[in-house]
Amino acid sequence: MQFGIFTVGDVTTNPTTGRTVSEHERIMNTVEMAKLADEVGLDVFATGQHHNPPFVAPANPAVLMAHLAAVTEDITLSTSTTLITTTDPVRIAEDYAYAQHLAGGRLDLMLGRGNTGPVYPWFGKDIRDGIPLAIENYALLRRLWTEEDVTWEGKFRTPLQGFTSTPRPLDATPPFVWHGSIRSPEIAEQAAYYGDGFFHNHIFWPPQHAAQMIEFYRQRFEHYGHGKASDAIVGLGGQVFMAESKSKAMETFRPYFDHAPVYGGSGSLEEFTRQTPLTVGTPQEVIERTLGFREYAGDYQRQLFLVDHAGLPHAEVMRQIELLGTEVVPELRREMAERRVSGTPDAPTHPARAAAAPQG
Amino acid sequence: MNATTTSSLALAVISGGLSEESATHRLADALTKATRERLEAAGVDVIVKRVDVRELAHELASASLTGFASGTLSAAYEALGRADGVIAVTPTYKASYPGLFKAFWDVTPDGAIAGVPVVVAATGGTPRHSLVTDTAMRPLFAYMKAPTMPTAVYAAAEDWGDPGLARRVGEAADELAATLTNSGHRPSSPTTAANDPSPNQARTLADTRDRARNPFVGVPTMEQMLHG
Repeated sequence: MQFGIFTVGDVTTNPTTGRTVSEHERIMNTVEMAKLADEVGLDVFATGQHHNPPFVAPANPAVLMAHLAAVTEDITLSTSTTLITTTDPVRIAEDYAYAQHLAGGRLDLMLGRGNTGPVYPWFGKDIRDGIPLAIENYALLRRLWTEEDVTWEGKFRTPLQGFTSTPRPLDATPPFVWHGSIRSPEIAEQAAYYGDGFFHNHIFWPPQHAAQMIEFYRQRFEHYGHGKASDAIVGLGGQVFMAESKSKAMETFRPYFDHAPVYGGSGSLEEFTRQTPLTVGTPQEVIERTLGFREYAGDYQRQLFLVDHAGLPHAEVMRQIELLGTEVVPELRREMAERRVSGTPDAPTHPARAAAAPQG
Repeated sequence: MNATTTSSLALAVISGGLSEESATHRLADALTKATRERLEAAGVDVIVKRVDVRELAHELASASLTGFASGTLSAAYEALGRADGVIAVTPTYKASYPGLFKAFWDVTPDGAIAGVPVVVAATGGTPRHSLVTDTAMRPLFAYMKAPTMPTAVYAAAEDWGDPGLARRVGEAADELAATLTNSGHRPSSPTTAANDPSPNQARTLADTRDRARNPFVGVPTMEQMLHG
């Protein structure tokens, strides 16, 4: 099982100091986060894709991933998410394959539709086509990665005649694809159809929403003959804030929770931690809560935590990553492995997939 | 509606009164009682789920911001999603329904009452707001694909001393009960005729509603999405 962090690159004013980091600081801090995550042994670092303030997640995540590939050793680079609706699938095929070479295969991606309405018209699309765009664009992306001579015509982009996307994926093994969706069963259906991974963001809603989506995905995965429902590849989000005691963690995190636009002043921190997977407490409490996820999601392959949002200062974010790497994840690995039903597949990695791929 | 074969029907009564002892609650009670009497006279058991929006105020504020309904609010939507008929009553504030009443419908899952007959009713301090049922409430339920009964009931303060109010309550209850038991439609009423769905429309509305209750019902298969 893989553990890591995911970010959306929000530039949020620190409510306790009134200070807002510059875009440059936030970008360089993001690189530091990925480096530390790699050093402390986390498995995955995932970046968002954004086209509007107050975010500085890259408009093309492959740009950041290519840099991180050079400054990290072992960590898998991923996205949270890559916008399959408004990004040209030809550019996704090309850019991520290139970055995959630079990363020596330490790269996969998570596709999402995006929830910022104006992004669609900015890129000449219509938000009402969100699902059809995700379906058509991904069908093309797959062909571009697996076929060398692509003649294609669809509804949303200009046709292709005898097109070859370059570079070809490393070891003829395209990056593994996760499909992320909070509430659209169509996307779980899409992930199941292809035998791809399904990721539920999980963090702002009660867990039963994630549980239902994952169960649907698992059943459809089995329906399409990729294996048993328990063989499906599942990822979950989570968000944590840790300190040496529960009360210290609550006290420190509260102003960020109260002021962050992402929580929107919705109820109290106590309510939110009760109703959603947000965990604010000691590393041990994070371990216990996270171990509970498998009770409704089944044994799963990837757990990503959000730790760097809401204007939290960089030093605090780094401390959270350190705690994850040194105290939380090692224990979670042991406990999850102990509880895991035998035969549950491991998280897909490039070496394993390349070894299994037909050569030629 | 296939209510003729059903021995019990569920009514969801949504009252938007903001004070505990409000005219709005009183009007909701009167409409509920009148509808229940008519349905019971027709041999139908009636299950009433009463929702007082004021009690949900804090949860509605949270749900508007977080996008999910929890606890009591989620139970209210559960009941709404299973209702055979709806009675919706609101006070009039600043020439329309108050924000809290609208918030309740804003957070309602899309399609939750598609095809479900609704009696619209409102209260107000003066008779001069009496069109609020037609200018504000009917468009809201039109959006929700819920047919409104031809008679809307508006009660100004002075109507509580006028037998005309009880008559209008009776008419609205007649229409709802008749629609639910699928007998005694007023064929001359253009509103009813327009809202009376053909079997195909009824199926589509029922599908919409099923999906509001359970988003995993009727999900298109990948083959349909790729080639549909």
